[in-house]
Amino acid sequence: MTIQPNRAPARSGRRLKANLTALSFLAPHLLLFAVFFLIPSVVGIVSAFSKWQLGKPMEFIGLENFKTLFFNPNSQYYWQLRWGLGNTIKFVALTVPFQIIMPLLLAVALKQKPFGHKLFQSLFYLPALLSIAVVMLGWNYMFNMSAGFINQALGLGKLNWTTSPPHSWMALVTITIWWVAGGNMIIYQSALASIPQELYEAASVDGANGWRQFWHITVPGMRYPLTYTAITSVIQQFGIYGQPLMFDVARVGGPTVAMVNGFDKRSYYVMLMYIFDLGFGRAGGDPGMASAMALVLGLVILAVSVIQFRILRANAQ
Amino acid sequence: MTNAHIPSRRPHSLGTWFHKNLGKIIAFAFLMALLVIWIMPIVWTVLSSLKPSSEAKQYLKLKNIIPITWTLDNYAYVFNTATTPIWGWMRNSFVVALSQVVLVLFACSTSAFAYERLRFRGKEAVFWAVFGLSMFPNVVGLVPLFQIMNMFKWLDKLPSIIFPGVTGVFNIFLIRNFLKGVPRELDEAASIDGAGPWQTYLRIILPSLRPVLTVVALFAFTGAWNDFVWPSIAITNPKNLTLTPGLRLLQVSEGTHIVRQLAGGVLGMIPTFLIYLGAQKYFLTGLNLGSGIKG
Repeated sequence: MTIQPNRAPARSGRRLKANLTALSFLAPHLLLFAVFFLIPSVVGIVSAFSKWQLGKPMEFIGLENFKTLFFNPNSQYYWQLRWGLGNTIKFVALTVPFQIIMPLLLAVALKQKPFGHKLFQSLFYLPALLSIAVVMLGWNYMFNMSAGFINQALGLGKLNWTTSPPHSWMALVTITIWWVAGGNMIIYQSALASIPQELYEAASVDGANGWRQFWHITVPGMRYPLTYTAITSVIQQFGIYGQPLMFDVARVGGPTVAMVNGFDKRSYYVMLMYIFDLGFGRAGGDPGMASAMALVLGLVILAVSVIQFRILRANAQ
Repeated sequence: MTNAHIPSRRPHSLGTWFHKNLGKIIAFAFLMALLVIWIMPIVWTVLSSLKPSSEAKQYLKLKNIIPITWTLDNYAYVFNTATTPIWGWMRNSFVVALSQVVLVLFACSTSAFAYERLRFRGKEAVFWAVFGLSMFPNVVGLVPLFQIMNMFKWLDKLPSIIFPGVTGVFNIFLIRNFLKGVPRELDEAASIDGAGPWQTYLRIILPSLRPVLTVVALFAFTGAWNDFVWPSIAITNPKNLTLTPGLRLLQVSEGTHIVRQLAGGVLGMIPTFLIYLGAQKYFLTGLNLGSGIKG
């Protein structure tokens, strides 16, 4: 660095200008980010500790909402928290493993570059580009009791997929996997492509078969994308909403499987559905309580992500 | 002419070819078997949308994937009902999607440019702070967002859907990574010629970002078109809905005529499908543009 004469005033003027210039470039995104994400999130946290009606100012009530949620079995919210979280977590647990394994198998198969692999890739990715509404309309018909493809193709007679818990869950998980597998498949494909071919050749020379090669070269070589997608997939599935909402128009959230204290527990009513019911303008809704539920859900998501990250990073060492 | 053994192109026997290509053969069989199941829902949906309602309700043989009677009645119906104004929905979806594309391209490219090319105090700190904050689950902010939209008087209007969709940080990350590969000499040449930062941005940077901006635009359009959750919440008047939450309305109002629902579904697929047809490679390999997600 050349030695400059003391130019402090000019330099700070230039620095100010540089900072202002940068601000002008950053402003569009930062403004949108602040107004439509940051501030709502902060308000969300604050409102979880308040009583709040649409259009009226918030009333701070401390931990009341949380006391109800965690300790008051006479409140429907107590049960909604448990049922909603339970169903959402169940979805995550059922869906995410397949959301990793299926795309991985697809990516490995595509890596062999069989005949038509480009077409295969395009078609397997296609569902990921559809809206959940479109997906549900099509799949509802697939699972239709009287005339759906699934019952006909598998010779299942008039199996009603919407009324019995194991079947409805199977259906919802299948639909979800079909919808999201393409996304991870693309990520895994590019990861696979960057594993050096020499490793496989050396292994072949040493007599390792395909299976061993998979476990000892492929999987370790993909540990970053696998970790990354494991976490993002979990976060994604915690937001499950459209599938259970649209699966059965007559019985949103599924058939009633139990009654507790006069509140009815639906087979697949998920956390987000309870939160939205409560938070958005319905007469008698309680946005403060909805925020409290949302905060609990948000914290669960954060906790799970952090734990996952720790475990997967430890395994990768 | 020597007697050197030149390896023949044809394998010595079918057995050898089979052995050499075993991987490809197994992969092909696996993919083919899975593909039939995989595309069936889309094929079934499209074909069934062309059946009359009566045909679609019966328990027919498998070969009746293909309609016995072909009809466009369902589409005619769906376009003409007052309860489910599909034309309006599609128009709204286009407006929202195109607006979001413009906003995203602008806001994310200017930010990426600032983070990557400009020097200012706290640059990396701001970048990672924003990135970190964006990881916070957005469910917490949804109820307040609704209230804020109420305050802006945007509820039931398109801006309430357009603006919240542009807050993502991932695109900035993507563009910034791509920008790392664009040589700084171009910037420097421009500034020697007297160009200020905004001119450098407009004349030099933007054009060189074209590949990654195409990817960003395509994903932004598709994401906006397909957005279901938030538009369902923010818009209650059926006339102002976009197509995808509108399909839920269609589902409820046409409970007995599934084929009409399917017609709506197909309409929801068409734009995305057309874009995909024309620009597949951007979807399939676009995320790799300079991204750092490698093994």
